[in-house]
Amino acid sequence: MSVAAKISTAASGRLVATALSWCVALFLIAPIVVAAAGAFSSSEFYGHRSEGSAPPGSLGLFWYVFSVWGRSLGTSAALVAVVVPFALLIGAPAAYAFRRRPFSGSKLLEAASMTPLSMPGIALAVSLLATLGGAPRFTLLAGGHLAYTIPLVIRAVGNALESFEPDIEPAARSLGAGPWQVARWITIPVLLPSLVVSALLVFTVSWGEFNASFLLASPLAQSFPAALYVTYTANSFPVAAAATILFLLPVVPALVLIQAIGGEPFRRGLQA
Amino acid sequence: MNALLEARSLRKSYGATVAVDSLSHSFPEGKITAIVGPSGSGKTTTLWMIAGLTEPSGGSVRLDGRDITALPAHRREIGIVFQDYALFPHLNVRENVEFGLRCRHVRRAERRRRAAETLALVRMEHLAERRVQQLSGGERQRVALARAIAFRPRVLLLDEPLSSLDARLREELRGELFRLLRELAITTVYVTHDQVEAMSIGHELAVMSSGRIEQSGPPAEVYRRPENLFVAGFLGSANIFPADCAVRNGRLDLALPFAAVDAPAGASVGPCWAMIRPEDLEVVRDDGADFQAAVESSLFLGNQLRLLLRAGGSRIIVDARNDLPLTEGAILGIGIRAGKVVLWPREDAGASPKGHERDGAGPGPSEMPRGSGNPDAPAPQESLEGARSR
Repeated sequence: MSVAAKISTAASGRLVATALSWCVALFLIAPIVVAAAGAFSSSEFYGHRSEGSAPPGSLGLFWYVFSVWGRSLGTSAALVAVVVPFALLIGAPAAYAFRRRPFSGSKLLEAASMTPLSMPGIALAVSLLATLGGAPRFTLLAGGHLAYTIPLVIRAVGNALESFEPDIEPAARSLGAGPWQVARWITIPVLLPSLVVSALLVFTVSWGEFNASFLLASPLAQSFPAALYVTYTANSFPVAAAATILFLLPVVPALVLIQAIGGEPFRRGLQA
Repeated sequence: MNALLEARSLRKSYGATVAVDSLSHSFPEGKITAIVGPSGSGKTTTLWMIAGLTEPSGGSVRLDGRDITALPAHRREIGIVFQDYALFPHLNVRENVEFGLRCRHVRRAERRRRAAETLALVRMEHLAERRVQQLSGGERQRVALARAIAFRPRVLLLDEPLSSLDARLREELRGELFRLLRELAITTVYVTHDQVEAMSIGHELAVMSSGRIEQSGPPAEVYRRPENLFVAGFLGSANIFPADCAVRNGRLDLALPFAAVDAPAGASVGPCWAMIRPEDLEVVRDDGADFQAAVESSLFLGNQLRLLLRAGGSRIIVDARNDLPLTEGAILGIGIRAGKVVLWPREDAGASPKGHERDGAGPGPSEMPRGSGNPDAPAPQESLEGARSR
């Protein structure tokens, strides 16, 4: 094969790969765009608007959505505020124990801790109700979210632990670092990127969790995605679309951050 | 500043596996002790117990007469260079070196000064602000050493500091590292599986196998007077033959399978094993020869010629001058250098030296040619192979 032909083959290969990536991205993003666009359109296709005072695309529409579902937005924010720190506080030490202080059966336990990820929300909700039925609804919601998010933290932090030399902690000890100094100056700084990524992952999952949240919700403790369901079933599409945009507002920056931190310079560890 | 380090009946077992088996040793003050042994002989475990990073199952570690067995690692003032260097990935070179001082709450200016000083010692001052990921293997090794000595430890431990470098770089850095370690004059324990490294670095050499120290002493002494088969075989090559000491004509004679020579001083009557290093056998003119041997094969090693000979059913390795004129199947006269035969008592007369070993797993004994009890053993060939790599 001639050099020119080789180059053109490589170029066309790259072209195919780029096109494919765009197709996948479009496939994933298009529904979001369609849903969000509804907030700015009054076409017949999206259905009639029922809130005469708030035309599509106007601030009034968003204000209307916020006034009706503000409470559930608050519930979701509170849930995230509780779930993110607790998922990290439970998941990161668990990952550390599994990888750094293995005990008999720890491999099995680590695998078992992943099961909530594959559990249907309804099953999780029912089992939570059966075991902790008397607890306040907010506690149950937080419990459901923790069950979905702690495995993510264990996985992310566990992988990070695998990626650096295990001897750096003994090295720090031999240099004179006591247990707290090892944690503060070595373990936590080295794990920081994975902890930040975990926090953002937990945030996006908790913010968007619908299945268990919907089943565990009470009229007073309802997360925003559960409220979205009501919005979609009871209101016009522009209203639901405006609610969707409100939902996506904090998620997009979080996803961008995850992407940025997942990059190579961060994987090596942040500067202390 | 220098400290006398002692291990007393130090033991570590993991379930039924004994990693270190009541090891007792005094590491002399301000000197370098090289611990050498095959992998799995418990060298690293010993080092980690001295450092306080592994809890011993029994025994004690003493520093200047004080029992430090219960002292946590961070209070021991023992620096350690790890096999994989274990540099902190989130800190740059200078911050890595400063770490021990930071733990001791040394002021920033003083910290900087001492880090710069230590980095200059290992000739790394120009890379102080580099990230450790940007360093080559040799540079990492020097940073690891600088980090371990910057806080002026009382004892320095090195765990195979050259083993993760490629052969050429290892050769290059060895001289520099050894010179530096000798200049530091800290009580140092240097662990390696490389016998040449161990013999050249150590003021003192300790040969380890199966969790115990087989023999220790000045390297030349241990090499010349190995106390058992394992040590003889692990340090270099060795010819080992079953022999007998008997009084003949009023003199003590050593009867080798292929020759009878004067017994070395201090020999006692009875069956024994005789060990002769290949370099202690020389090709001589017939009238000065102790015995005749036929050339089976030879290996040109550059600086010398390694001969595999056969005499009286025994295989013998001889290191000769590289310009020796040689013809296949030639009969050579071989002389044994005076006083170079080492004898060990042999209880089970006639058995192969193999039965004498405590540990069959080490690479050392397998490198040895067997005596006449086992003439077809493939060992001599392995020995030739081993010689090539040195």
